[in-house]
Formats: sequence, structure tokens, C-alpha cells
Amino acid sequence: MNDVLGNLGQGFADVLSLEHLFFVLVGVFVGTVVGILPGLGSITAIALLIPVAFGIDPLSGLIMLCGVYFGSQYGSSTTAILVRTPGDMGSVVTTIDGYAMARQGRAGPALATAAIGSFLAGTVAILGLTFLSPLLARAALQLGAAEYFVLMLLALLLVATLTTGSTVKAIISALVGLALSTIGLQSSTGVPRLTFGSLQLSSGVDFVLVAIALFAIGEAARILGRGRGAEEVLPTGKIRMTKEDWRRSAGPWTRGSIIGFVIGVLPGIGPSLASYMSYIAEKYFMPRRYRKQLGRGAIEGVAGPEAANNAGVGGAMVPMFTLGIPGSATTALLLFVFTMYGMQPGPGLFTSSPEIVYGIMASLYIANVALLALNLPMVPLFTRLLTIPTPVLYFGVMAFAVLGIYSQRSSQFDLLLLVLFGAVGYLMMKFDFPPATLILAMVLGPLVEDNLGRALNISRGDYMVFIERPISRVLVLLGLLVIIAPLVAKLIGWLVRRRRPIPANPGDTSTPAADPDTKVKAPTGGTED
Amino acid sequence: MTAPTRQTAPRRRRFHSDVAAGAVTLALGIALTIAAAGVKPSSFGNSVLQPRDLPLACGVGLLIFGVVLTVQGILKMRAMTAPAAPDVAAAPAVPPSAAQDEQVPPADDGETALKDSPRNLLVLGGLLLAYALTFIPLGYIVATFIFLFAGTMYFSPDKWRRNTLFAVLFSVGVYLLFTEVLGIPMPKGILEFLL
Repeated sequence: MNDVLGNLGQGFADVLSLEHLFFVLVGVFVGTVVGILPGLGSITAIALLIPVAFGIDPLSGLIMLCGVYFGSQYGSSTTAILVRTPGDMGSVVTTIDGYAMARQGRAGPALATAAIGSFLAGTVAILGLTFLSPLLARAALQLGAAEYFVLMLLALLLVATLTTGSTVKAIISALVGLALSTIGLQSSTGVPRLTFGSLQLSSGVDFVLVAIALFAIGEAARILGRGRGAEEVLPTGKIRMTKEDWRRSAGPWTRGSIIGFVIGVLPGIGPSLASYMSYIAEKYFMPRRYRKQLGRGAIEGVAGPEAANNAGVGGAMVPMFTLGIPGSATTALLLFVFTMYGMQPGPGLFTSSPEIVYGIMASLYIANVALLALNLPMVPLFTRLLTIPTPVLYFGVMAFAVLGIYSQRSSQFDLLLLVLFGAVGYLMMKFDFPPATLILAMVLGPLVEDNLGRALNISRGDYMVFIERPISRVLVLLGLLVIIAPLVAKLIGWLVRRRRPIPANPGDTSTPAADPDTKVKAPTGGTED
Repeated sequence: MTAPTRQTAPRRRRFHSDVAAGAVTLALGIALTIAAAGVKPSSFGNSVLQPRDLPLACGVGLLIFGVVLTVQGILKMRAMTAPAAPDVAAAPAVPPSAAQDEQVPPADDGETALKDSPRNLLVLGGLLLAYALTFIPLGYIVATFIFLFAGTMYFSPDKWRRNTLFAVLFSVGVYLLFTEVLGIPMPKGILEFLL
């Protein structure tokens, strides 16, 4: 414990230099701005900034990117509330009650509760990260190749199944991602795979390229392909909360923080699912007299999910630091940045580069405070960004994407791949295939394969090793549970529906799916104009 | 469940996009399986897991799930005998872009009412492809300027002053930022004599 505090202190000392503070602020600012811009979320921001991070020292680069991650969560809640357009998946639920509040002239309190809740949750999560990680790191040393394999597989399973859309499509996305990860010369054997004789493909497909192509270009194509006008922005008014607002927000903040952190820690799922879960939780925990407001402007519907998604960010960093496993698609990118700097995240990182680890944690505390200070007063300024005309914005994004890719390998082939995957990204979004699953699978692919290979080599082909080793056995059981549980739930739901047909309720916006089957919809109210 | 068509006039069965998606997946699966089968085995004698195993597993997986998806699509098509009541009318909201962070696909029910413009998409794709192809030969500044100018002019033809300004500022500004400030070289292309 003293060790942790000592290291943390050192971390603060490192970070409180002018240069590092600068990068924290840059990251936080860029993150907020990007979060506000619709369609651009943390993944795109980080992916686009990776080439920039390449040119600066590791601590500064990582601090900046983590700041972007945090900041984007804050920024996207602003647009969700004011323009009903979440800037990031984690703020989708916020659009429901947040926008409703805004239309009632209560945008101020909504923004305030989101900002404060995010701050509190962020603090909780960072504390959890600080104190939990060293413990986990030490426990992680017990893990061998077999355990890592099962853990990675579990992450993959969670990614594929714990989606609120079509599971089949998520699985397909994951499989494509896995396949893409195999392209090139296999690192352990040197065997060329799926290269079709092409020299460029022999070095594999860079997953940052795929990430940028799927998200930035795919989104640009989606928006420009329709030619819609910009949404009107509602005036914010005073950002202040009444006593009642404070009282009602307290519970959701707490619950949201915990839910968010726990879910964030689970490898493979992160802030967005956390916010959904929080919304559902609030439905049950809300005091009865306010319950019918949920969906129509209940402050709990903003406080809880916003806290959850910020806590989720902190939580997602835990597996990243301690196990080297991505806690979300965005942390997968961050993982890449670590390796780019020549560091290997995992239990070893705590002993080999504690100054980096604790430096980042210290910077997160600072980022959190900076975000609160930025967000509350500067909201009107930020919302001005929404008035950037769509073509300018998205062409700028695309130009930046091309630029970023070129700066990695100076390869024309890469640029063509970018266009190709951009088209793929567009199609995926049209047909409801989740792109983040693909990215995550692409990152997890080599990890899964390497560990499986190693585990099997050690056990000399004995597949039972995964059940014999105790930790591995537990994880396998968990994995089976993850697969079986949704099927059981579906079965029960189907049986119930056969007894009592439930009438369709298209106008009902108050309940996002509590049923794991159905999609969570953005509100489709009939009274908007 | 998003059907791609938006007509509400009575029509034959709606073609469900899942069938197409499933078919594509199936084709991909077949292609991948064939490609994977061609991967040479590892030269290390004692390795259990072969290089072709993961690609092969993915190929087979895609095959299976492609079939599943196609079947799902067909079943959904059957379930939609007449075109359903119009999707709850155009929500002005723009639902989120697909999962930025997590695997949550967009619920774009409100959007299916709005048609995609194939022309916009083609122009966009063409411009992007042209940009990628001319990036090195024409050089960063020229290629970027053309891309941005042409793109913004196509989508907002009346704002030519703004578009020009943006295109110039972006191409020159970013070029300077990367080459001078960040020290990352960018192709000079036809402006070589100048730079």
C-alpha cells in the first residue's frame, strides 16, 4: 500500500511539469471537442492522434491519449443533451432523458449532473485503478499461457455475445476481425498467411488503419451519404442544479460509478454497456414517485449513465495495465500505443516502468479535475462547434485519416486499403454489423492464437490442460456461463411470450430493453417536429 | 430488424437485408476456408497449433454463421407479409454512429425512412479513391486541396468562398504542421520545385 502511494506521489511529481501538464490539457481538450462532434468518438480521436503521439515521448503521448479518452466521454454527453446526438456510444442513453430535460428548459441541470457525476465516477474509477491494479498485477503473475488463452477467449466471447444488437452479426464481425489479424507472415513461424503473394500484405494489415477506416471514413460516408441538415441546438441557460436535483442525483451517481467500474474492468466490454446497465438499474432503484418520469426527463436517467460511462473508462484501463488485455476497443488502441513505444503492458509493466504507469494514473486525476473545470463554464463555446458545416467537418476528418495512415508507413497501398476498409465500414454500419467487435477481435486474435499455441506446446497437445489448471477451469466455466445464459434467457422469454402475447408498443420510449434480446432504440417520439 | 426499403405502398415481400448480408458472409467464409487450406504447415516439428488453424476456423465459422444469418433473414422476410406500418416517423434525431467504443450497433429505425443517396456515396468514394491514388504523385498539398475543394463544392456548391478557404488552409496548414513542427515528411509531388 505504501508502495502504491509512494509511486503515485512520484507519478504526480513527474506529471506536474509544465510539459506534461500541457499534454494533459491538450488531450482533455481535444477529447472533449471530438466527443462533441457527432460520429467521432474516442476510438477515432485516439486512432487519428496516434501518428502525432509517435513523435513525442511515451509518457506525454500516453497522457495525451488517455486524456482524450476521458475527455471524449464528457464531450459526448454535451451533444447528447443539447442536440440529441450522442458523440459516443456511451452517451446514447443520455439522449433519452437528457434531451427531454433540455426541451423542458432544463438543459443546464442536465449538463451539470452529467459533468459532476462524470467527475465523481471518474475519481472513483481512478482510485479503483490505482489501488486495484497492483493487486491484480501480482495475481496475474500466476497466470500462464493456458490461463491467458482462456481469458482472451472469454474476452472475445463477451465481446461477441454481450451486445445489444444481433449476436450473430457480432460473431461474424469478430470472425472477420480474427481472420484479418492472421494476414501476413506469422510471427512465430514465419509462414505467410492470406498474403496472396503480395509483398505489402506480408507485413499484415495494420489494425489502426482498419480502425480509422471503419470509424472515421465509414462514419463520414454514412453522414455525407444522406445529406441531412444539422440539428438545431437548444439554449443552455444556467448550469445549476436545485437541491432536489442534487438529492436525486446522488444515488444514481453512486450506483453508476460502481456499475461502470465493474463492467469496465471486464475485458472486452466497456463504457457503453456500462451506461445501458446503469439506465436499467436506475429504472429499478428510482423512488416510485419519480419513476414515470424516466424517459421523459428524469435527472436520474442522465446522472446514472453518465457516471457509469466515465467510470467504465477508468475500469477499462485496469485489464489493460495489469493483464495487457484490452478492456474495450479504445483501450485496444491504447495497448497498441504502449507497444509502439516499446513497452509491454501487463504485470511486468509495474516493475519495469512504474513511472509510466503511475504517471498516467496521476495524469488521470488531473485530467478529471481539468475536465470538470472545462466543462461547466465552457459548454456554450463547445456547442458552437456543432455549427461546423457537415461537408467541411467530414472531409476534414477524411483528409486527416489519410494523413494519419500515410505518416505510419508512407505506403500508397495502405491508402488504398484505407479506402477499401472505409467502404467496408460504411457497409457494416448500414447492415448493422458492429465495427468495434471487429477491431477488438483483430487485436485479440494474435493474443489468443499465440497463447493457445504456447499452452498446447507446453502440454504437448493435451487439450485437457485448460480444465485441469484451477484458474483456467474457473474461466472456462465462466465462459460457458456467458454462452448459456443468454440462450436460457431467450428460451424463458420465448416460453413466456407463448403464454401471454405482449402487444407491440412502438410509441413507448420509457423503457430501453430490459430484455437482452431487443435493441435499445434511440428515441423515436412522435411529438418532435 | 432493419429492412432496407422504405416504401409504404403495397408491394411484394420486402427483401430483408440479412439475407444479402448472410450470403456475403457465406461467400467470404468459403473464400477464407479455401485460402486457409492453402497455408503451409509450420516447419517446426513439435508445434501443435498449425498456422492454418485459426484462419480455417474463422472460415468455417463464417460459413456457419453466414448460413445462420441468411436463414434468419429468410424467416424475417416470411414474417413480414405486407409492408408494416411506416417506421415510427422520421425522428429528427441522428442516431449514433456505429459503436465507437463498444459492440453496440446503431438502432437506426428512425433512419430507414430516409433514403441514402447513391450518387453522394459514389462521388464520395470516387473522390476518396482519387485522393488515395494521387496523394504521392501530386503531392500532399495539391492532392489534399483538390480533394477538399471538390468534396465541399459537391456537397455545398453555393459556399465556394468558404470551401476554397478551408481547402487552402487545411492543405497548406497541415502540411506545414507535419513537416516543420512534427518533422514527419509528406510527399511534395508536383510542387517539388517549390518546396
